[in-house]
Amino acid sequence: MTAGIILAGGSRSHQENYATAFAAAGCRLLAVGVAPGLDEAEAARHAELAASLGLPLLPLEAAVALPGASIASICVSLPHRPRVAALCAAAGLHLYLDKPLAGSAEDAAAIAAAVHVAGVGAQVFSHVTADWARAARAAIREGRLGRILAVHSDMLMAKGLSAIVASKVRQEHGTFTDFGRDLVKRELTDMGIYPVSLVAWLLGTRALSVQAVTANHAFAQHLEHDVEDYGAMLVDFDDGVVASITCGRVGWHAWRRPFLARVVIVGERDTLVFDSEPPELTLTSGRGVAPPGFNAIDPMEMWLSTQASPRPQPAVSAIPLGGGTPDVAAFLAMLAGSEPAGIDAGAAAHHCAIIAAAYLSAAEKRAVAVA
Amino acid sequence: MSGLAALLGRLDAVLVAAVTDGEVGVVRSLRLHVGGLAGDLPEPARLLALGDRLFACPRVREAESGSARLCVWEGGQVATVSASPAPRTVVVLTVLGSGGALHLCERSP
Repeated sequence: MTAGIILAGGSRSHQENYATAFAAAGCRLLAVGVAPGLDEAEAARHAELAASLGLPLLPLEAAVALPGASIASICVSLPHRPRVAALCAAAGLHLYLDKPLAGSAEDAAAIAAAVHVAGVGAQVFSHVTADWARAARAAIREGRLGRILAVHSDMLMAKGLSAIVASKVRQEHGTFTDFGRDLVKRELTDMGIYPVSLVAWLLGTRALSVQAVTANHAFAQHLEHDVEDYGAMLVDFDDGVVASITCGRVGWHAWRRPFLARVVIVGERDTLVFDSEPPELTLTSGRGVAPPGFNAIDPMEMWLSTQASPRPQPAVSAIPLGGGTPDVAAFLAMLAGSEPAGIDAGAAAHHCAIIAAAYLSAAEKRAVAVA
Repeated sequence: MSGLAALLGRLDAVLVAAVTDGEVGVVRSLRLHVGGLAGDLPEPARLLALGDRLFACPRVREAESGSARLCVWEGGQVATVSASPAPRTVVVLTVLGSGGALHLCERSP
């Protein structure tokens, strides 16, 4: 049976991506549902998304009751997520949830509890369903590395026009309610959740304590709004494994693709590196490039004294080979019983608790236990 | 000198030169993991010394867990470094600056 999707979330959010992914997977987009209590700007974005997709715009309570509705894709701003998730779960819809699950450990736990009580399926967007992450977990589970000693993971979002910002130590805030939405986001939350969830998923254990720092390295906008654009942390897990994590929005010039996600897994037997770089063909071509001049006494360019200087370089480009399992497709496969789950709501709540502990650690400059 | 020590020596020289030449703008962070045979492996403290050279200001906060170190310098720069025994040479590096970045992911066969 074709899944019917209710979109709770508007334009200029990840709902743009999720709607596209559900449609590509053969699902039927039924409506955009506007939750009660959203501010005017966020409600207007729901209307924008509905218009762009040619979908009806309905109050969320009416949308979840539409015949055929089976999944809610939830991408409202962070403070509204517990309420919207609870409403959709109570209506019996499975939940596909934007990352991070919530802005606080308490809100995340509330969502996990609502999912548990309703008995619906739920998955939070993450990288763990990507081929490279699955390969990393297989390497651990197959024992190729022996006992795991440490994991080091990074998530660098190479987007945004960076600037030279003031060189000083950032003073972090332990708790807050403003997560940003339009111009900037808190990147320890927004980017840090990727490596945090990946590492916890790979290890399959719980984090005990965190030591973290945050920084303003790249963006004037982040500095102006007093939110971090970079973060780093050391996380102790309960089986003695130490994880180090770096994350941030680092500017368009920092990598050749929109982002770089990576994990280094250190085991007793070996160390392996996995990353988000897709398999690709490297294309070198003389098209559009002036070739080296012909030299009759050294036509094969064998000798230094007769080679052109500087030597012309071919044009180099990459042709991605694709692959990978989009997280939405993995969610649908999980609901159909054909694939293991990605990050469920309970696991995601723990990941939010790790992030919350990291902020407190950065603010108070000490190790903080994960609640 | 071991292969790992030679590689780290060359890396140190090239990194400091690139940063001094302004190739990445104002350098902001260092991320470095080194793996190698136990006898060749540098102490994490030595890896942090690379941060001292790149950032050229005093450290203001240090944290450690296992073989990983987290360090903040006076100008807000951050280094996250680690070193672990491995049967082969592994060097994973990212240096981020205000105008560019330096990356290395080297793993010997």
